[in-house]
Amino acid sequence: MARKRPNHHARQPVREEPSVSQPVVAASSASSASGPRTRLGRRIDYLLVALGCVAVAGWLWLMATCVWQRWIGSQGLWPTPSEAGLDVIVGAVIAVAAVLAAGFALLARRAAAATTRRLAPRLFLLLALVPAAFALSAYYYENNRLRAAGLISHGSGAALHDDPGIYYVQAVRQRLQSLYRELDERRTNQPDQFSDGDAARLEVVIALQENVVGWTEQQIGHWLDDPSQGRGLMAVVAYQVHPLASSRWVVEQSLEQESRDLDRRKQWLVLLQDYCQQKEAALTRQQESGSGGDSSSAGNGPSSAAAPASGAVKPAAVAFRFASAAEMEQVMRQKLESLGLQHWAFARSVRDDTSDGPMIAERLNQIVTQQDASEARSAYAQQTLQPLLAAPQPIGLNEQHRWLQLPVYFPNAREWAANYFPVRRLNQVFVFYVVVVSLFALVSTGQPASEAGVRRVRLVLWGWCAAAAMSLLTWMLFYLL
Amino acid sequence: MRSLCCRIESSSWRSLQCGSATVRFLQAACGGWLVGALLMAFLLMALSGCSRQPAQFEPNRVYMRHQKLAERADDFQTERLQRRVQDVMHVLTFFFGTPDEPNFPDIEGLPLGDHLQLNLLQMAAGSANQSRPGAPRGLYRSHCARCHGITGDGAGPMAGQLDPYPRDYRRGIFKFKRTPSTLPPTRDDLHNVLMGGVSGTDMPAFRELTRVQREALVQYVEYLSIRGALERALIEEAAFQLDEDELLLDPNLERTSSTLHADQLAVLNDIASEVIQPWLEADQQVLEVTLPPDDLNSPDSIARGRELFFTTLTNCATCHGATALGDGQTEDYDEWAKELEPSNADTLSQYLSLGALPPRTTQPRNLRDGIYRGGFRPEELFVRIKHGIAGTTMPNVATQLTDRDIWHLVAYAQYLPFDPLSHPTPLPADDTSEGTPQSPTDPTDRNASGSDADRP
Repeated sequence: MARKRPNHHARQPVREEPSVSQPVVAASSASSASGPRTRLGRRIDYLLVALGCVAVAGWLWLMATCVWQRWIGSQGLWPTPSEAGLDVIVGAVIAVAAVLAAGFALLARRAAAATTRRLAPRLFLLLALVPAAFALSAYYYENNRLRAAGLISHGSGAALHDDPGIYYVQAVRQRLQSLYRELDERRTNQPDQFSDGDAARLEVVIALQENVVGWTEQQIGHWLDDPSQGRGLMAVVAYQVHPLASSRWVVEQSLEQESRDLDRRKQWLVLLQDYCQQKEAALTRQQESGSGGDSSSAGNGPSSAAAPASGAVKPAAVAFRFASAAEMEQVMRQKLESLGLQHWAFARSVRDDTSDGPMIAERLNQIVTQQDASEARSAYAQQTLQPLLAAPQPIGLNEQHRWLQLPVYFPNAREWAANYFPVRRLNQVFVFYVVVVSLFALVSTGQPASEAGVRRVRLVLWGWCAAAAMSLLTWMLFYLL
Repeated sequence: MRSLCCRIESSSWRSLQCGSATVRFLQAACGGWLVGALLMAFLLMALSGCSRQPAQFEPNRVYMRHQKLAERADDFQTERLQRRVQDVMHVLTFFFGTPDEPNFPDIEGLPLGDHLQLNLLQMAAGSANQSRPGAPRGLYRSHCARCHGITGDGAGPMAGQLDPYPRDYRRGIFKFKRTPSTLPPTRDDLHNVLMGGVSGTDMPAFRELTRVQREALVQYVEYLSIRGALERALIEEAAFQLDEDELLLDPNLERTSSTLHADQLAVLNDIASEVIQPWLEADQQVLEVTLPPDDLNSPDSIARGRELFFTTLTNCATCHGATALGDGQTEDYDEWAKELEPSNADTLSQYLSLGALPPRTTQPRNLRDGIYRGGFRPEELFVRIKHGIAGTTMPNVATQLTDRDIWHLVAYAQYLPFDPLSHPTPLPADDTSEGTPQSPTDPTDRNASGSDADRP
């Protein structure tokens, strides 16, 4: 598809001040040198340089915006692996320097094609390649740190959370479940490949499922009435996974309150257990004597006919120690109210409930289960959570057990991820592209400039501008829209 | 460009009638053999796609495999099974006609003619191209078949891309209805689905259709369901009652032995009656919804519902999860998928090669979203909690709980989307008391209690 070009060689000046484009044209074949084309080529070169400058400026802006966003979004308290540290800033600066140097190297190479000066382009090439190599190394190092912390770009939707809410806890549980399934399947189907390390991992996973995620979900779903208390518990989970200095105060408050509540709740559960056992004993006595009609224990509907729930832990039967069911109701209600239990939804529900048999057994089962869970949680808090809070530089679960890779919470995480990962990928591609371009220019430096060579250089420069424009466009799509 | 136009004009339109002339025309128009050949191929493909082959109901090979009539998908190539498939399809055509000409059996003592109207079935059946002035046709194929399939097997051309899959009518199981889970839906239930669509799925609402058109579609869905259910019954009959060479309805017997032929018809009528009867009685089986208690949606009612949610009497938390995000049990399958035996990879591959869609696990509802496929009205929630959802793992709790307790569960389900924890950021303290149901802990009680530290 090569087009024929008119021969205007006669009009081309033989010797002129070396410019960006003119010398190349002068040194190229006679058929490619023309006045209008020279002017056009010069304009194109200026345009290329201008576009390159715009691209680099936009790029710098983009990086500055990310750094600013991270700083302002969390008031300087971001996770360690991704904080706007010196390495990130230096990496960005040397990457920009590499791109600029590569651009100048290309232009110098074109200038050198018409003259015999080869030092300048080689110097620029060196200036491009060395910082580019540094930039790529910095990216590699940063990627490794992100991966070690569970901040992986391809899973950013699930791995990063803006809010330590129920969806965050759900994501942690799902990750633990998948680990459990994987390890359990290996233990069952491939016992010879199930090492001691796997057994230790399985223990860790089970402990986390029970004492961290399971406990938290049960509390916020069933036992706690105050949403802010539930949020505190979820913040504790997030802190365990990845300790953020900004969350420390909330976690301290939450654990302090939990510690107080656990002690109090153990006493309350004993009282509720006693109340339910007395109700059950009253019911049994009525059934045995064949008398009915007590409003608090008479069967009123299908629940009286249903069998006790399967799998329920049946507490030991106790003797009825009141004169009548009515007296029992009165005394127990007074006790409940004296302890302030009327303000606990579960206790209120127990107090006001008029159903019988299975429901009472069900409640007793729940109370016993909750007592056991409370004991286990108290021990876990003392052994694990308190030392975590006491440590000057706390180590999160993701850092302690790198194989866990649990979802991480930090402020504005999703917004940050939507900017950060695409930008970093684009930067890496861009720097890599610059390295390739520089190598190409290095290889072809010693060759005489030809029309094809000029086209190649232009093509490369256009490609560079296209990549820069794409970088800008992507940034606009990810950030502005 | 001008020369191209001249060449096109000089080509005779008559030359389009034969292939070589068409190619020459295309060559002239496009200036190359390659382009001409490609366009010709495209033309042939387009024309072949327009050929008119009458639509046919697909046999339920999956259920035949399930009933051990076949072991592998290849078995359907054998003469024995082809004969069996033809036999079942022959009976079904005898009773229900074809997709273009639907019919229904006239069985003594079974007033199916009062239930289904042939003119409405005709309106829904067939192709839209068969419409005549005053006699529209093809409603089902225009609006439903691309997802639910011509046969109503829920495997239309679009089905594989949808989540959840479209309903397979042939089992006669419908999730969202006001009848007990073992019975078919009423016609009003199907109307409601057509009018409102199914929230959270790809099933749209068809409010733009006229009432008659919706009635025609509802009746056609019933027709397909009854036909599909009868097909399953016939397959079971063939699998367990017939000998290897015995037929359900032997066409030769009509000429050779009228007595045997009448016996066969009597058996088939009995089978059809068993299948059809529940559909005729569905309207009398509508479940009663008791009035909600006066304190519904009060903090105590919500607290009671929450407590019931976690009991083993209801087992709600087992599937819906402790935080009600619908993630407690996500590895179970519904009735449609269970039939494909998804735990057995070898058997499953046989079913898939017979055209079944890959089974998906059920996803219990995320109650904090407040999006309910079967409707969000309290009465609808009450029916689903009390009687379960047919074809799914959602059980009925009618024998475990009183109606009052079920209403408390409804109150808790209705409260969950407004629970402060359902939102990504904490609500301001002032906003929680306005516009949303109250927290299970009454704020007034909280004040009365003195301090928050008094509560666990």
